[in-house]
Amino acid sequence: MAVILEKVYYKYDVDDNTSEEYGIFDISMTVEQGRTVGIIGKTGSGKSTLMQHLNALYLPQKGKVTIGEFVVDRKSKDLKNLRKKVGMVFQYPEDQLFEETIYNDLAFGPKNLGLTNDQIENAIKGAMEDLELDFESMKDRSPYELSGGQKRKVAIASVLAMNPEILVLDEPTAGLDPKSKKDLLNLLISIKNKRNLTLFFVSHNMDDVFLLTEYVYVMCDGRINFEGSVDEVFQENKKLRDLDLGVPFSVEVLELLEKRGMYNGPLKPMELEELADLIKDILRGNND
Amino acid sequence: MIKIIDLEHEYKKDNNESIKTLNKINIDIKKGDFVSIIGHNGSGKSTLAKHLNGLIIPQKGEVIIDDITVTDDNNIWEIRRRVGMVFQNPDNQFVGGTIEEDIAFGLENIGFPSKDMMERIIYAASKVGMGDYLKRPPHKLSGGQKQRSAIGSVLAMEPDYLVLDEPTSMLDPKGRKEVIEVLRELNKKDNMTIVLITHFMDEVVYSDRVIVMDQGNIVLQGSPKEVFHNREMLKNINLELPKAAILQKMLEEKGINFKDEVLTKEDLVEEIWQLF
Repeated sequence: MAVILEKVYYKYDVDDNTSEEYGIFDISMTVEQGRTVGIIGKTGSGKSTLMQHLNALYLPQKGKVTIGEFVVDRKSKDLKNLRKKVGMVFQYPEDQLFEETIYNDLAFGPKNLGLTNDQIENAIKGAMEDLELDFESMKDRSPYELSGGQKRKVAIASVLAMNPEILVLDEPTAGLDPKSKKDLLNLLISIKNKRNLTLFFVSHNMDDVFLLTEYVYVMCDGRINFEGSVDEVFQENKKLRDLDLGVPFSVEVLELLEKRGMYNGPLKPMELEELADLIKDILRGNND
Repeated sequence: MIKIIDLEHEYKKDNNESIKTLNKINIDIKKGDFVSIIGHNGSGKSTLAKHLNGLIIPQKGEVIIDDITVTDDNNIWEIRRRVGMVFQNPDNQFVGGTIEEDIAFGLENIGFPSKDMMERIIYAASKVGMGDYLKRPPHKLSGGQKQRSAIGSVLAMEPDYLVLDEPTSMLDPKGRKEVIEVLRELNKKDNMTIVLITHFMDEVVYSDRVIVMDQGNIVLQGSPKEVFHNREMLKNINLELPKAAILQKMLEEKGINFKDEVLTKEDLVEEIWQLF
């Protein structure tokens, strides 16, 4: 499903007497079916407000949101069918697990969709398989007994069990250890491909955004400050820092090499292996 | 000095199976130390931290804060005054309507004389660089500012030890940096004892000592350099090296030989410069 936002405006009522405005203002974006986009911006820049327009938790006060065949504006009603299509994984989603067994937790959403018991079981099996959770050995266990990384996976599986076409992930790896983090990111990439999802990824971790997404929107004060392909956005190191954001590790290293006069190419984000090759070439080139 | 002697902890699962989360832990933390504790999710590091100020009372073994043993409710308030705790989510820790009220709340709870209160509030807020924001409500603060205020509220109680359980995991990059800088500053200038529990390997390089936990055991401890020298072992327990160290290792595999092992990008570029 494609997602199109046209001049979406949502302002919060704030009951203090400052002139500052909170919300999102005139946001426009077009995300084609199957794309992966990153949304970055410091705390309070409007990322969450924007995300909550994607499944019509908030209705725009002005402008409109088009998701597949659904059009959402300030007067929209009957949004249940839309919400089925958009899976939202909020920060620390495991806090929302509540059933006694993993099976029941995962069945909660599909049951509400009115699926038959067989359909529910299939949806759960599919979601657990995608997250590499073993159905037979885990279905009757309590979600509370699991490790942090496993709990996180169950929480994400409960969203996938609804078979969404759009997946919105808000800091999905926060608080996980480095290994669990890496595993989960790789899983998310393969799930996205396998299910052909349109993916929105919100994160403060610029290396994760670089790894996972193709196109990035940079938010500040409720507006899109700039946007572009990952390569384009992460070359704007000065702009990103001015917005209190970081840059990927590779760009930081290239900056330091540049400062020492060892490098004068583009400050392009890259994976560590590629960066290592580049540094090797720098050293070899100099010695030749 | 915090002394942990043969500390053990276990809990029972629904099916009555016991899980040991801490196994014969022995640690000494001296005044003025900056100690980091790392380990993967479920390694026992948060359970250990909760023992340091009596949120969990030892089932077996002892936790001694200076001269007080953490045993029961009799001395718990004195222990919590001495050992200040800061947690992951800044929003869960903010109780006042403004920073000033938030710091005052803790002081009122210990019956701090009101005539001295403002002075103490200003002192604590200044320590974390929030002295100019006393009247700010929490929704007008960034994540980093909220977390610094939480540290300020703890500092107002004049603790001898500061324990932080993943204080940066919900913050943006700038917030993370601010919090780590405040901790380094408190440690250096005021000789505050810091116990930092974190998942970010890049944050522990500033500490004097790193303690590595796995399955309820301390499996490694030493200076950051010593600890991160054990690359294979860390890999086996699913911990990563700091990114600069990973990059250095890749370069070594490509036939580049360095003089020293590094932990930060600055040091790595310095090493590369030496070879240039």
